[in-house]
Amino acid sequence: MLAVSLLLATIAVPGSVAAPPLPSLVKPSERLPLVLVTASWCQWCKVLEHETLPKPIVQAVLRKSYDFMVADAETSPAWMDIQGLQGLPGLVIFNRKGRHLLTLSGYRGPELLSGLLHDIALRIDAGDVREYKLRSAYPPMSTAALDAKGRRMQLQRWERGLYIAINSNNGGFGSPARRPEPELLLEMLGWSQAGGAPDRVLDGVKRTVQSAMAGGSPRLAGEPLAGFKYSAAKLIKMAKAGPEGSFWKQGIDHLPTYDPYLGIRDPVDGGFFRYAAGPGWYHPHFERRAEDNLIWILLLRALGYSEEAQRVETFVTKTFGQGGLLAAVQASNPFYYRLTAKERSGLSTPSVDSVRLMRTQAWAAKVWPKRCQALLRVSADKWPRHLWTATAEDIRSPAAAPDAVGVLLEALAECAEPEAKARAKDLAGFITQRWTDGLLPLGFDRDRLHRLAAGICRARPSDCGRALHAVRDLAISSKYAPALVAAAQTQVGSHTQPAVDGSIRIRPRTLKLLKYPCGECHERGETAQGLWAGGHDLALAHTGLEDQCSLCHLMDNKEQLTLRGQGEISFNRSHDLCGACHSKRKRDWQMNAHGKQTGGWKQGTIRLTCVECHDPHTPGPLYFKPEPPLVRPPLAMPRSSNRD
Amino acid sequence: MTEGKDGGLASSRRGFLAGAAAALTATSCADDLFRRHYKHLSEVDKKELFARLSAQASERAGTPIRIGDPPAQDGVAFAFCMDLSACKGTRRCVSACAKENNCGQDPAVQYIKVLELDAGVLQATAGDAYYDADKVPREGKIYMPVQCNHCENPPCVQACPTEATWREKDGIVVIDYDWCIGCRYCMAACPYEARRFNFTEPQVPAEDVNPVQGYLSNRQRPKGVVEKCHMCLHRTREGLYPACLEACPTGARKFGNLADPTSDVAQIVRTKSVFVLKEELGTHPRIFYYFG
Repeated sequence: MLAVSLLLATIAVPGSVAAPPLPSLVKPSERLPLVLVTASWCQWCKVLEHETLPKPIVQAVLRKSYDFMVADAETSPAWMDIQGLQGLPGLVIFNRKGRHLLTLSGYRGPELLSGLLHDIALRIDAGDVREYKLRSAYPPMSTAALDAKGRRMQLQRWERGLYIAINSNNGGFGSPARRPEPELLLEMLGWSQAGGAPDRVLDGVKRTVQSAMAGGSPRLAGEPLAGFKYSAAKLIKMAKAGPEGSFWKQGIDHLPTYDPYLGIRDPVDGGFFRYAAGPGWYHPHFERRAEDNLIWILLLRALGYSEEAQRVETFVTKTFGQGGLLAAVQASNPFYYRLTAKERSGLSTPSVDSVRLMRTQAWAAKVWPKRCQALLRVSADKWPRHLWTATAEDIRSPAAAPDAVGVLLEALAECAEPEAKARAKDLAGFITQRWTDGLLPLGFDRDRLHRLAAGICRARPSDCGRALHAVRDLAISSKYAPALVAAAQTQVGSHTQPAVDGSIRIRPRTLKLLKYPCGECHERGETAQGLWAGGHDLALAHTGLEDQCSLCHLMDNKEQLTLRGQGEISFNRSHDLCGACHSKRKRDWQMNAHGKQTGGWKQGTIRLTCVECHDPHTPGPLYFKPEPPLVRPPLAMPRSSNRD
Repeated sequence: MTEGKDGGLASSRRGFLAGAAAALTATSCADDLFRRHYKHLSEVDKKELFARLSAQASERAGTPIRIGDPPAQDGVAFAFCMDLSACKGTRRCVSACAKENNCGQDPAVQYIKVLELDAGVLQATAGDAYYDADKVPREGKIYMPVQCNHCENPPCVQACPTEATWREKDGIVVIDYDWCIGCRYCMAACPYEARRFNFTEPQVPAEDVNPVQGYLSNRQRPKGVVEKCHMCLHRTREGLYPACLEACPTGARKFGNLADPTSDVAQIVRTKSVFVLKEELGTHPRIFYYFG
């Protein structure tokens, strides 16, 4: 399954450049034209042609949906230039009108190839090919910085890719979910709730969850399946007997070899499997990870399926609860349940993946925020310290993957215990600082950094800008990106909405800080002199305030201001600082007798703060270049406005 | 003879009617000629009128133009407040107003005058509307924007012989450009020099035409009619700010509903020392000046 998703990722997408004029090979047809691009020197082309393609499983798909043709790249070199062809052998797929849709490069085995071709034909039949056309309509983006347009377009492209992934893998087109990624679904749901996600994201999540809940094996659901010997009741009996039971072997012997749509919900014991049974899987197998099921609980709760969520909770506590959370963690070892009972009994301690341990604990803390402390205090052999008391140094250890830390930060931030929030804030602050200093061992793939940035945004909103800045150049392509987008949406969204001070709505200034966070250059706790050396083009001539940066700026966090008596205040509230001395002006400003406004008199005025016009460092009179005067009419008196 | 006379009469009447019909078709504005006063039009009549005017305007401008007329609302009394210490004489309001309202560009028609006054002499009649400077504000000068005051007791309305100008219930003094005969009595009556006359066909390049137009506000005027500030009623009646306020870089202009005690204009009028122009005339202007 992993291989399939990797392959899906390598599907090249046609760009806006038109394919070279193709040989008359491709004609409009009932079936989809599929051209194998081959060459005499290409070894894998020969393997594909002579060994893979003749296989019945591949032939079945080809006969059903495709018009198969072969093109020799040596005699017609135009084929080598076709969009998306990275190497031979190449499989180029057209739509029925002969328009180039996509290109698969490289060799694939018969099972993968047939599955892939089947999937593509299915999607094209269902009209999902629109996605591919849309993609080519967008020009490639050169920068992925936080500028609104670039980020938006990048998101759009990424979201479309995700949508395709969901459909192909997680149960689209009426089929039960085969391999839903509960974390991805949860994050997409969060993104949708934060706002900004297209409607179809929520639709896709709902559909997948519904199909996962409804989908079981047709046999388990009591539907007849041609060629299968046992009834549903019998199969349930076999499943309950487990691998040791005598029915078990019998049941396996009678399973058909290929049935990809068996669903992931366990109607017997509760909980969700990680995968639906497919080729190479015994059915039913019992790989129900604690981590997955914990996420399913959150997902079901968020979508309002409380009954099903309760069932999964019961399953998790029943199955993993007796031996404490550590047992759950052990059960989360992906290999644990694939072993035979004999092999399993030989293992004194199942190997525990520390990252998974951390994640499982963190997700458990998210599911039961009231038992946060107890859940995070569980320890394991490879993770000697409790997550509850984890220090900054622990977080730096290589055992802590950034994504796991991200989830932990979120869990801590959501804990019922008040000290957990403070802990999360401290940790997030430390990580951000180390991160921007380049001191964190963060040589991981970008997916995980997205997750970490999202965690920081949740745990310490004032550092969100720096975290977003740190991942700004990472292409959005990962499954963790929805979490980041949801966090960013909340953060950036809050910086585009007017800030509120009592009944006054203020045009926010903090959006600028998101783009260029002060902390990017300035150390935390940097002194006034260091701040001064930052190279800003400003002079300080505000009477009596020279060399007193810390009077207004918070030295520990340059993204915030400080007001005596009130502590940390946002840059959106700078008028409070000015008003501390210029109180009369502030009173005028508050009733809008002074200052610029936008918006509308009816739908609400949006006010500009003092610093939009007045330079707080060098206040002084404002000068403008006026618009040209009216041309004096030829017959007008020298001072036409003067009539007396 | 009688037959011949009757026949002649009949033929001449036919001829007259045919000629009249031809003349009306030629001008293609029979409906415009024979319609009733704008205030007496029914909703259906107005709808037809707007559709006809929109079609004409679109054809003339070469771009789709929609002419409407948002109605005045109850409980709304529009007013301006001008912060004279904030006004720096940038004339941004003047140009934004002309652009918003499709004012003729050659010769230029502008609703707002920004007067440059010597500091300490608060006499608008001594102000210079034609000051030219590289940098404002100039030393020793203050600036005062002047435009239609939308008086509660408007002399211009009383002067108009055709009822082409009147005061709406939200306080905006409007002009029906189709009803105006161009006699310019209102201009003579206005003590604030707020009204402008189109001596020529207003020249607005096609690319400068603002397609959002109102019947009583910024639709394109013909030659020979009077026009003036209408508080951007096509914007303000939709809840927006007038174009001059949006353009002002210093926030010298305040606009709102005087009837709402929580609005900023009501608060300013209540708490600041405001004055109006030529108070002694009893016109009761709706533009209040103050030093913030």
